[in-house]
Amino acid sequence: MNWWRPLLGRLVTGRDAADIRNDLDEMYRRDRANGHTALRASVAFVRRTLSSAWWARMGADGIEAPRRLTLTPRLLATTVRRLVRGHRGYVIGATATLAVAIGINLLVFTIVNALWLRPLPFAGPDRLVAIPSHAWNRLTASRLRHFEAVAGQVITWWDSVAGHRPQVGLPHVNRPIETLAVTAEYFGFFGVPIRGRDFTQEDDRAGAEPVGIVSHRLWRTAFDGSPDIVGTVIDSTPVRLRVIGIAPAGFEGARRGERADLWIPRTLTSRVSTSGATMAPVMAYGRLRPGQTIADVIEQSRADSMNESDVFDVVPLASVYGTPESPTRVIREGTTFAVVAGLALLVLIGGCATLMALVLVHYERRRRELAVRLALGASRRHLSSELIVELGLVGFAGILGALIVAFWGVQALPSLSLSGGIDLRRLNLSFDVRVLAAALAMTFGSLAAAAWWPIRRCTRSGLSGELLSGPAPTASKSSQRLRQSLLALQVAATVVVLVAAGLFVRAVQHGFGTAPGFAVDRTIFATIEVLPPSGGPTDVSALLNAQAERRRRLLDAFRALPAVEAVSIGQPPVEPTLAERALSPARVTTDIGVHELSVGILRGGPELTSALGVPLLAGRALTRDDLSQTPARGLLTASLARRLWPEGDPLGRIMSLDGGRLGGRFEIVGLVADVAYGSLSAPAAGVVFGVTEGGPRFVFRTSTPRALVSEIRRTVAEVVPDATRVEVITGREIVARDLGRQRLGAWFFSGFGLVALLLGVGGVSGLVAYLTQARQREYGVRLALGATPRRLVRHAVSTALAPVACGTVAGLAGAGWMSAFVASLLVGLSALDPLPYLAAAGLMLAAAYVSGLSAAWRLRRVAAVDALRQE
Amino acid sequence: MTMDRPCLGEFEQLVLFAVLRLDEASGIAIHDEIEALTGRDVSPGAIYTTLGRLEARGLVRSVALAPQPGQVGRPRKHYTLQPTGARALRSAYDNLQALAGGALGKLAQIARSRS
Repeated sequence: MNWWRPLLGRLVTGRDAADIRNDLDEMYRRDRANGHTALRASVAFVRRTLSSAWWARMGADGIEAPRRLTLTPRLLATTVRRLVRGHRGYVIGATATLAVAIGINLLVFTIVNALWLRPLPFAGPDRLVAIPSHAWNRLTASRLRHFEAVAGQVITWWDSVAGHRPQVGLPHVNRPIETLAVTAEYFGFFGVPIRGRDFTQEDDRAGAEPVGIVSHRLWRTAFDGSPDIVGTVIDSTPVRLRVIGIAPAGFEGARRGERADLWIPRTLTSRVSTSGATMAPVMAYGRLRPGQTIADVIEQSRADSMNESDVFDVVPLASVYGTPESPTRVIREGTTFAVVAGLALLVLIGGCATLMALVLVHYERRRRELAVRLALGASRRHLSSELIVELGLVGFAGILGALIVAFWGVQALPSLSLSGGIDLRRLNLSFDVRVLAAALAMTFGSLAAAAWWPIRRCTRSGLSGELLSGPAPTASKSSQRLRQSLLALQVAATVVVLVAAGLFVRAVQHGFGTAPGFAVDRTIFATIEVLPPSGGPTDVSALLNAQAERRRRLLDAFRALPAVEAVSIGQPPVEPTLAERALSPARVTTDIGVHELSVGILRGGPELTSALGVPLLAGRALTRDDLSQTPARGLLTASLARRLWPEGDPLGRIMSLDGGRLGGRFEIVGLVADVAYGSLSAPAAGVVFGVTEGGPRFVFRTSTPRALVSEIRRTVAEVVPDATRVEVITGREIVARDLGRQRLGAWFFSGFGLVALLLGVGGVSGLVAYLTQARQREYGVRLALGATPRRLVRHAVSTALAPVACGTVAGLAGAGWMSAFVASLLVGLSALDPLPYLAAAGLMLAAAYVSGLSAAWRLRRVAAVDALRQE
Repeated sequence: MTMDRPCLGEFEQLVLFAVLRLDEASGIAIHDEIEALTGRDVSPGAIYTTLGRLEARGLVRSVALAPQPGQVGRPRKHYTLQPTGARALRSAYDNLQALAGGALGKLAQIARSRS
């Protein structure tokens, strides 16, 4: 473990190096003997060694051991004044560069923190799992025995059980109260301490007094944080509840995305929801036993199950997203955010390159000042310390700017959502200590990377001697080469980001355009549910007749609307609930073979394909007469038909689809154009359209979707005034939700690309201005020898364009390599699609040319005599 | 006060006083003495560089001594104060006394008024 000390000690050179190393070792041993930790003693060893090494290299020049630069308010005030008065441009440029480059990375880190890193607010989250796809009534006690402990939460997001959603109101709160109905073990399972008392089995009994536990947030906002609320009966509707406890601050539900205000016992659901049913389905949470893994539980579940479909689907609770109105989703955005984080890092690298160029130019301009101070006896250490203090102040301003940029980005983010309906608004996007630590590390890491070489170069002791050798040098060849290299690096990073932006924008365009297969901009989907109130009719046939009559009246009313071109019972083909089926192959049997394919079935009215705007290619459309046919009649998408029957006409043929309730046997009566099913990112191989009369969902075709939305709502209110759930969404919104990843990528990378482009343009402009200034004398000589100002401008611009061209080529190569990582995120688009590459290269070169031209424009007015007089 | 006595910097004075107090001191002992009496944590490099400079001017002399029982490592240099070093140190001390004489009260008064 001590191997590193002799290595570091080799930094100490000179006459007494051996004695110094001996003493350093002895001091280390003494520190350890005095009880210092290894870390503390090592830090002291490093500090003393570096100081000694510096002293040994400085040699004995009669220079006093300098006092350490002490940070005093006066020193800071002086430094700030010097920076603001004398170097405003540098301060603004460096601060803006840091703010933007680091702010973007902070924004990405904030999302990653919210989705993955921020620990769940209860004990032992790594042993907690969710079983999202099974209801408690299918999870018998014997099957749950595999877990150390279990708890449950009422399911409310499935369409068929939405009526179980607890709907509690408070008269003085003008927003929906998000209420979760849970089993009595819920809070104990998560180890969440309740102020007051927790639920008991007695509370979860039919007929028990209605009780509830409020969240800390609701307690603060609705009850003014009054400690007397515990034990009080509140005026909630539809039943008055006794508040028995207050959840701790920070706990708002088990799943990421939950923002619970109120928890009630499971059995109270029937009294505060529209369903009235006494047994609401419950989703289970389990705690693994010590040493047990998820794979173990799944294997044990498989041994207990009769069917594969009964095997547990167990997922870590930390990677689960869910709300009362959305299905539980496993957060699988690792690839997306790995790509986003990688490209954000490129922006940071570009920012560091810009910063290094800025710092280098800044110190180059101060060479005379620094050389004079060195000649007058200032030590290199003192000068370096002063420059580091300046950088520290710039870094501090940069951190503030970065936090502002990240904060603004967080406010803008909620307009986006990830695939599967993960709503970023529901996540805890607040800054915490991890985010602040990341900001500090990135800022000072960037400053250290950008400034170490310029400081080293501009405080070298030989600098003062250069004053004696001639006119004050303006810029050395090595500085120019460094700046050009930095610019090339910046441009390469910019081009990669711009290509990524182009790919994602194209993917979004494709996703909205040809990929869905239905008329995205001309369809509306509505869900209208009427659930029987508590104590309503229990006669199932009467219930079904009432539903059928309601559907008939609604269809008649909808058809009468002038804006409706077609209406049918049916559902959107692209939806999160269908996405899982799209990924699951089923056995498809035809008269000539058997296939394993993922095939979607869309059952709706006979006019469903017409309402979706899916053209009929062959055969006939479905009719109401097909309802009673056996086998059922169906329309098949063309590409699936070609796959099942490569030769011959598929019309009249029979296909069987295994899949239980989701399967069927169809006689193909017509072929339609291809339609995406499930998700645009991973659609099924094909779709079968069948006929049905049931279901609460409707599909509309219209040329004015936005206007029709309000008309539909008005019509429903007139025809079915007792509707308990009315959801209307346009086809565009459906697709936008499914393209969440791609839209997020397009949003991020377009923003990154714009920032990177601005940094690149600034770099080009700065370089041209720098070279123009540095070559004044040379240009004066050229002018005197007959060169025209126009040629000088062309020469100056071409000098800057050379590194831009190199950087562009390197960037295109880098983007080609990066394409392998983003290919899976693009919808129906090749990652080597040439248009984004050409556009990125063209944009970068054009921007660089314009920027360079504007910076070199003043050369047109330069007179030879004036330029030569600059000496 | 004669002009041919070498001038000593502030840190050089500290090092010489430490050598004086310890009679025959190694670098680390000088470091410990300075740290104990002034609170300054100076790096070994600074001490040895200063000692090298003082030795070059003839103000101190070094001898390499074998490690003491209980010590590890190679023979260490030990430094002793030379007569020229003692005279230079005395001169520096007298100069300081001359300038500071009678001014300590005033020094305390100024320090208090600006704190």
